[in-house]
Amino acid sequence: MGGEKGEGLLGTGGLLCLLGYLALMLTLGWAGYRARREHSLADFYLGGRGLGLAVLFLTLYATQYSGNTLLGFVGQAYRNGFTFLVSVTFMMAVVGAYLVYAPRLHRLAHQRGYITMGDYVQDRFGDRRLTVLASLLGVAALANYVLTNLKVLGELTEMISGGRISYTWGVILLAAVMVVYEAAGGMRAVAWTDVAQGLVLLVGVVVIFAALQTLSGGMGAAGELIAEQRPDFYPAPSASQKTTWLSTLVLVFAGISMYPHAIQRIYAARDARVLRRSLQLMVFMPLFTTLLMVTLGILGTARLPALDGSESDRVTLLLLEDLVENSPGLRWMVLLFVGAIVAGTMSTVDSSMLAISSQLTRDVYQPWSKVTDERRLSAWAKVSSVVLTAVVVGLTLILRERNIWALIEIKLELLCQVAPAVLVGLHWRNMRSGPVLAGMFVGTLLALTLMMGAWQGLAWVSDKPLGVHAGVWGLGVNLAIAVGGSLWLRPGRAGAFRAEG
Amino acid sequence: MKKLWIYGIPGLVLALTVPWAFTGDGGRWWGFPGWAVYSLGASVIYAVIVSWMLGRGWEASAEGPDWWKDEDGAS
Repeated sequence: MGGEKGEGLLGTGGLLCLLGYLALMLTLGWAGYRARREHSLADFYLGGRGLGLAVLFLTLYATQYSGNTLLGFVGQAYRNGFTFLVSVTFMMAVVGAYLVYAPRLHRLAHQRGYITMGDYVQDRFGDRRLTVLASLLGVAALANYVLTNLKVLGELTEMISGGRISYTWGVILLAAVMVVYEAAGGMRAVAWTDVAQGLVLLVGVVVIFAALQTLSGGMGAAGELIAEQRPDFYPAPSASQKTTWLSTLVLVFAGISMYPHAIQRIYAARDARVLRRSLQLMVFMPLFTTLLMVTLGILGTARLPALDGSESDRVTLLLLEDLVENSPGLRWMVLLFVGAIVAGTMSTVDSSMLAISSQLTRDVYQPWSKVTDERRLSAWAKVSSVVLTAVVVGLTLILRERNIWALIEIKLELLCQVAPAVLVGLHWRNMRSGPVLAGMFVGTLLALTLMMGAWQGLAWVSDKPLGVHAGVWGLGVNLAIAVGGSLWLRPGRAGAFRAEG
Repeated sequence: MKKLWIYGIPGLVLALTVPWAFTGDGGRWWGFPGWAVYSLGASVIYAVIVSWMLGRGWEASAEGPDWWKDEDGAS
């Protein structure tokens, strides 16, 4: 598949179409640059807080669904079968988490001028150590997210070009395009490209699912074959698997909802009505994206049995090759789907890179350097974004053979440790910074210890003790310390709940 | 109290999307095992509830402590 040089999945015409698509992205980036109203961090990182319904919905959609959904999730469904339908529910649960904090945080962001998640943490708790820790967890998780998605882009480029564009050059080329339009137009450019990318993604997923469903005769007809190939898919989950199912819901509820780039979109919404409508639509989107991809992965077991590990992450691409072989006239559909994968992945990576840049600038560099000049800050942000992209690209090239899902899990274990500060801190007056900081630190340490111990093969350590994810154990301890400590330190007078530090 | 309902009901329904009660495959429905169809159905109900709560509970959810006023008062 990867290393052999040939015509590839798309052919020269298809590759030219993709190059045209990249040119369109650069043009939108340039348009975003031209549309800027002022040289300020709020204008650059939040598009002047003016995103309307269509743009906000599509940027939320394109950011939330990515190469992981289209390739990693399909691979996971291929390996684990119907139990991975949990992914449909957990993508809905993310919007359930927004219900808890988005209304309040959006109002505060407009009142208090927040740009990053760290701005909220600093304003709420007044403790720079806590702000830096929360920001670093966000940056670590986002860098991980970028890594996963760049890997998808590299694999995809190599496959569709038949090896004419190598994995390495695919990653470098697409990362370069993204960093150029992002550095030029900031959030405006990213959101506008997300509109195009979101539309391509949605249409591509639905159309290609319909085609592959028809090719396999549908789930009803393929069911017998699936039951023959994978009889282990059909019994109900065991008690332990059900516990892990619930643990996964908790991990994603508290993890994905804390993505700094999603929080920035909450800040960037023009008003509460626009944000509310977008989220009301978003909660149903797993039915039109995740469910279709999971079904595709399960169908793949009937048509392409016995794929292993990282190869199973490529089920979608292998099914597409099969489709083109049987029906050459459907090549345009392949282009549409490949475009959807590229679009979904790029929209996630560019949003993540912008969020990383904003956090490093606003939460770490600005307080440390004491620089207040917005032009200097913006310039520093752009340079840091380029350097960071180079580092992540290097890591993507080194870590090519790792399973995609394993990478996804690492980031959620870290990110969910921020949840108590946001989900509880927004609504509970007496929450204090000391216990929140201690809880976040201990929770992160516990999650990392369990995961790294399990990777090292230590017999007495598991990354899911009693079927519960390491991150959820960490979150439980984190929450207990944050809430218990705040109750213990409860102030005698109203208004004295902030940290001593 | 109102916030407890807004967050509690979706939380409960979310926990119920796990097919706790199933031990066998629960029959076959369009190629899916019964427990998977149950989970999907419960998830759709969860989505409807969250969407409805976003519409009806937005204002209540947006309310909370104004800590900066407390701080100003304290200083």
